[in-house]
Amino acid sequence: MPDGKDCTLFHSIAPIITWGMVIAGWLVVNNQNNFREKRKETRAILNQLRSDLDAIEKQAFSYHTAQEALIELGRDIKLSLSRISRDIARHDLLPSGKRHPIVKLRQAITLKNFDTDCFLTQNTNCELLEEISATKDNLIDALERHFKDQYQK
Amino acid sequence: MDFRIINIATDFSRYPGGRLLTDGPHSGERFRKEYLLPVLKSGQHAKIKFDGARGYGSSFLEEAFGGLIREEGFKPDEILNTFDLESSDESIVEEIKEYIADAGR
Repeated sequence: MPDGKDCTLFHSIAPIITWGMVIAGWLVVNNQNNFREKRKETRAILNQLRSDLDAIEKQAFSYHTAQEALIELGRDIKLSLSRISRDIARHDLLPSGKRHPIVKLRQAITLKNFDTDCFLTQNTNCELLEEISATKDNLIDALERHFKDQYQK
Repeated sequence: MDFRIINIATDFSRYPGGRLLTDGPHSGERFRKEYLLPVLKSGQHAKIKFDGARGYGSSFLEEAFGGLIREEGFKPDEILNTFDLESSDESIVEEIKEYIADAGR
């Protein structure tokens, strides 16, 4: 049985322990809320990015299957690719130093038959369009993988 | 040591595009010949700023930088030591380094 001294000590530190537990609990809940909010926010950005990538894929198909080189559409595509790349960097949607899937998508769309004097209308089932779809899907996979690694441990 | 700054958007074009001179007035070939080659030949160093332009096509980037090795005969190390590539979009720098490495193989 505690003597009088222990009782006094316990009564004096009990409120500190109580407040300590309250603050620790608040920190845990607050951290979890922040994490959930961040995950929701990132999910929304990712969903928007997926539809932007689908739109770029459509634009790229229109560009390459057009009867002649569409200069304005080409500029829009380059600008959209640039914006997507910056969005990915700004929101840390891919690990730093691993931008390879963005590079591959830009190459698939703009390395061949793009901004060129020798534009050739492509067939809808040609290799170039297949490559655009494949690299777009690879980029989405990489984004989803990184999201999963960050938020679904 | 002389150090130049080449801002593509203000010094060359906000709309760089195309591979060859025949593809348009702001092609990779023209950028290589008028901006990159003089720096390399004079032994100067240059920082190249990519921000501000309305996007880049891979054909422009490949011809400008890969062309330094393929067409002009420089070595990858010479190019990497001469130019400091600056872009807030790090995929641009990554892509250019890939072209320099590929052309050097």
